[in-house]
Amino acid sequence: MVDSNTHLDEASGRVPQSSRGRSASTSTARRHEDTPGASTDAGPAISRNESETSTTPTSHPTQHESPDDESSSSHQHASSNPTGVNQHIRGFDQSGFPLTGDPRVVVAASPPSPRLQPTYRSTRSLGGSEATSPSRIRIRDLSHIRSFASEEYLARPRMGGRSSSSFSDSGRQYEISSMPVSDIIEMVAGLLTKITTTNDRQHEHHRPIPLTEEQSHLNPTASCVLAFHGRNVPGITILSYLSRIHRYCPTTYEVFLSLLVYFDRMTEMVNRGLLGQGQRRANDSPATAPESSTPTARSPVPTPMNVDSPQEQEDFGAPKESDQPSPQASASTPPSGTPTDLSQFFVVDSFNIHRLIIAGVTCASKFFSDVFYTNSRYAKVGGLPLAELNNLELQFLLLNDFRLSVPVEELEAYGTMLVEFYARELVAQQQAGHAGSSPQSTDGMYMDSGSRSTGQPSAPPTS
Amino acid sequence: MSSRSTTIPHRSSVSSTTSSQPPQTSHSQSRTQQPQRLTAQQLAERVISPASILFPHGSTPPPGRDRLQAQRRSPFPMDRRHPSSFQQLEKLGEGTYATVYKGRNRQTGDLVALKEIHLDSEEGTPSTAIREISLMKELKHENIVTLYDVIHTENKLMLVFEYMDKDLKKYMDARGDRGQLDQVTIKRFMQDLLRGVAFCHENRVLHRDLKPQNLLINTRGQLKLADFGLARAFGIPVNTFSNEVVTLWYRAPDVLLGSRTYNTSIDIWSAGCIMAEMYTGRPLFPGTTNEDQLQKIFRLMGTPSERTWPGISQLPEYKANFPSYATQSLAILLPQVDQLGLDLLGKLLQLRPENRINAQDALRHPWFQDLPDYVGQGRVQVSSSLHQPGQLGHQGVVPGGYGTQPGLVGPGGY
Repeated sequence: MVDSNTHLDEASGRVPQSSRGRSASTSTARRHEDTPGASTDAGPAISRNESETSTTPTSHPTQHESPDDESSSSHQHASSNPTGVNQHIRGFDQSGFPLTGDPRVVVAASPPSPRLQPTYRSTRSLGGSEATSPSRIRIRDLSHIRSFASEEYLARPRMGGRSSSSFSDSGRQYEISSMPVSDIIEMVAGLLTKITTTNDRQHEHHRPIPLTEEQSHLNPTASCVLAFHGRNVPGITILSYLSRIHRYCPTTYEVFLSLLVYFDRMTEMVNRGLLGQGQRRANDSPATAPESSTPTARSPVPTPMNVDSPQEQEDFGAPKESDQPSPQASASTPPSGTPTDLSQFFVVDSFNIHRLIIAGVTCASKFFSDVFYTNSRYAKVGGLPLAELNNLELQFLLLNDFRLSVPVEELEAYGTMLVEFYARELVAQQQAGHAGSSPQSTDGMYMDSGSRSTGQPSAPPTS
Repeated sequence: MSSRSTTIPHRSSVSSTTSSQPPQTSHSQSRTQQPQRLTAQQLAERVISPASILFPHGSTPPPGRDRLQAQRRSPFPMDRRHPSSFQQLEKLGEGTYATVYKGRNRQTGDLVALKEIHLDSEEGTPSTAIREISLMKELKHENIVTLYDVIHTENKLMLVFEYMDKDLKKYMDARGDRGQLDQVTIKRFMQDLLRGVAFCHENRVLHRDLKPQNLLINTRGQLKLADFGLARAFGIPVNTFSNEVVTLWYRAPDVLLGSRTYNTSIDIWSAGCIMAEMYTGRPLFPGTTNEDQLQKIFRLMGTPSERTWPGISQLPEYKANFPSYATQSLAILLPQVDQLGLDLLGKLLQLRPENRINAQDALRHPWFQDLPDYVGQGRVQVSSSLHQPGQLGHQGVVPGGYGTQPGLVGPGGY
């Protein structure tokens, strides 16, 4: 274990980050117990990654660490948290929480506000809302969905060649908050995989290439978007990546579900804006571009630099065969800022999905949950340099207009539709499986971790 | 193989872009040769995002989506402004997390509060900032400090807030008789406070740090809620709440007892504490520790038991050997409060969270009935009589409430 880490760090020319980042998993075991599903689903995926794709430089060192500063606030009461320690993550609260016996809490002056700090407390579910109507179905877990899907599948032959859309017609609501987070992650991963695969195919020749400085001045959103674009496809599946994040930075399901909402908003905001701009740019007025205080401020160290840095490949594991080649090559005609160039559009694809996920989880955890972690930990777990994650976090916020609020109804609608999506996919697979006479064992389904845990990550999953 | 096309491989992108799928390769080649033929519109239409799959044509878009979208303006609203749009005036407060300056909009001349947030490399963007910005962008209300803008520069964020003259704590010190305010002012402030709180709660936001330093008063005598750094959205069924919320003196007993399932009622408790403080000029429960805080509360409100508060013994910090106190009368402690006021205060300061009145009902309490139903402008006349003019230039005022937090420079903050 240690060897593989050393090797990785040497290869990437990176020094393992100091104890803070490694403190990471001080309480992995603890969290494990408390986190639904983490021990079962995430486990195999992560260990496979470690051994086969070498994507987890952080996971081993973390296990050896003894608790340090950051963990102290978790299970003990704040009163035992030495105030002098860890001041840097403390927010602006100069004297920390109103600590028991803290001499600085003087009665004459109001005690300071408590501050939420990065924490290592286990996530804990408090139980879901009551199912309020018959049309509102509380999903227990994935097998619960499978049972729907099977009924659907059995009913199918009588419905002729109709596509499996009847899930959407049901008007049912699916309440997913009681599902294990790992199950929700699996559905999210399935959807994101479908999206990236589709977008990869449709836009393979439009791989973003580095913007010239002029271009990034013209279009600040483009450099925001490009910040997420890696030169290579990281060698870890979306599911494994999400599972890994949940294992080492456990959080609640909203964080993962909200990623979908944010990706939609970003797509709409950037692409709609670009289309508008493109029309305006026909008149060639650079002045219409926003005053770019923001993203372009970083353009001197353009995002492509980050993206192309050699350590990159090591961060996410072995690069795919496409090392330097095709996508970029085919798009190597300068984009020249014409509206025909997709490179400035926001397109969730295999080249940016991992960065979008880790940045999104970082932001969403801090917004939604009282349980969140330092960025150095998210960076370790996500397999990218801290400085890059910090930048991505900011870009993610900018691309969301700093609005991370998601109305409950919207989140619930996404949950419902995600269940329906998953069920549709299951039905489709059962049909395909039937046609191809492959075994109908539900364990063979592509979104099920069971099938993947035995296969090479790069191998197309069996169906 | 044939079945493969129906599967969704987890990472097929590369294989599909290289060789394995002839139909697509040829397709893309033809497009590659004539990329200019495709308009941006066409290209953008091919892009799919989660909603393309989750909410296909004909299915209902998520509720609430429109509401939020409507509020969203052009893609990068933040970019419209530059830090140089504001003239930076004196520093109003400082903490390790943020520094607040008084500022002036160069174009309009309006005063603003500029809250600079340092971006720490370990922590990244502080969660406080993410919450504050995200929530305040959605919470537009007369009794909530307005966040005008967010400006991002190299290594800091600058939040541009509506300028407020001072925080309630300073106001009490400056205006009151040994910190005590007059009944009319208290009633107005309580109405403002509860209106702001009610709006938060209607929008499923818990403030979680209500205290005089976080309530800002403008020159018109309006009170507004500020510092949403500890706030959070609620209503999503499953979640984890921290019990390390709310400044100790204003922290509800259920939170002190370790509850993580609290709700809007914790803000109501704080409001009750603040109401009493406005009458006396002193904090109602100035505890020094968690235990001391509980004891101070019990001494006045009586020690709760399983009988008066079913389920209390299940709370983590509950101890069977809490000193047993009898309930005192609020009227004895607060002789200056009228009967109706005491009634409202008693409803705000219920030990058991389920028994606490909610903000909406509190606003309908008869105590407020004799208050002229002012709206916005009507307030100016009333308040101008309460204030000395020209407080803008007030020396040494440290508006709290913007969340710089305290510490040494000045309590409270934007």
